[in-house]
Amino acid sequence: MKVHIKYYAKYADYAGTRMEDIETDIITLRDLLNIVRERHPKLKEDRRSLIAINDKFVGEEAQISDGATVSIFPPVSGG
Amino acid sequence: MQMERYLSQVAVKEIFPSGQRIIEESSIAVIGMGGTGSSIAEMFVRMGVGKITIVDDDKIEPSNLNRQAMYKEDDIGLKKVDVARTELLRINGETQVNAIDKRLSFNNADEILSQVDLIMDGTDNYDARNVINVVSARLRKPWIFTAVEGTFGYVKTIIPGKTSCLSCFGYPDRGEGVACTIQGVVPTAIRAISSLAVTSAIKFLINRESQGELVYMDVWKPVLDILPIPRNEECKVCGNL
Ligand SMILES: [Zn+2]
Repeated sequence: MKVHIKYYAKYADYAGTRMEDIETDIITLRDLLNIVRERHPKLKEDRRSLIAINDKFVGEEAQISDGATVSIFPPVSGG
Repeated sequence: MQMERYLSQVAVKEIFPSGQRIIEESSIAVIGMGGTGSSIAEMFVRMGVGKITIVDDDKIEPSNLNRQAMYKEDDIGLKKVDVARTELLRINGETQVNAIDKRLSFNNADEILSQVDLIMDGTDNYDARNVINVVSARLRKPWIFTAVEGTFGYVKTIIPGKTSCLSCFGYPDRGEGVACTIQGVVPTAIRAISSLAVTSAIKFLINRESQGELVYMDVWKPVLDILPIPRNEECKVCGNL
């Protein structure tokens, strides 16, 4: 199946793109994130990231279906 | 109400004189008087908020002056809450300004926050936001989360028991974060996020509702995204509310 990944803020710089498609057979978000972090190792610098599937924020145990859009946001502490 | 002073904002149908009255009867707390906190406090006082409590234990440094509202060169070395209180009263002498020279913690949060209608997050670290998140849930106090870094930031309205909270979506609950002077932040991003935060706050005070969606804004690209965050029944902070 195909999954669309959207990178926000500094993650777009780390990935070199704001959006990419990944072909995969995996169905949990945790496994998908591992693939994404191997592709773009700088994403590993954050202990956790904020993840939405189809614009809804979810935990890493969430399941992914074909055609889903996964948005990855950095956590931010400043103010 | 001084009608003339607020003429331009009460002419807006979203506010109207009825909303202005609510603003003037409201008591808000601003936690942290750095970039976002000082901008938020200034906007609220200009718009006529009745009472504002400002909380910070820092002194003004030269590196604050490029982005933090109200502070000037000859304020360097002075306490932020002292300078801010003086400036806020110069802007609007009808607002009650309560300045607290402390860092918000689990030891003092109940006392500081129990009397206010709404809490504004102007903090710059995960630890302080966790204090606001946990204590506001316990006191059932609504609050507006803000965070800014680089060219972008987040704003979210949190109503305990009604919307999701910070812990519902995996926002880190501990850590100092990275200082603005190290991670970098564009001053205009701070103003933009502060504006969105005050708008969200006024909307909530007048309408008493919010879906609690996360607003993401990048001023450089520019991009604005709005993402729903459903409540998490397993949330350790608000799951049982
Ligand atoms: Zn929660």
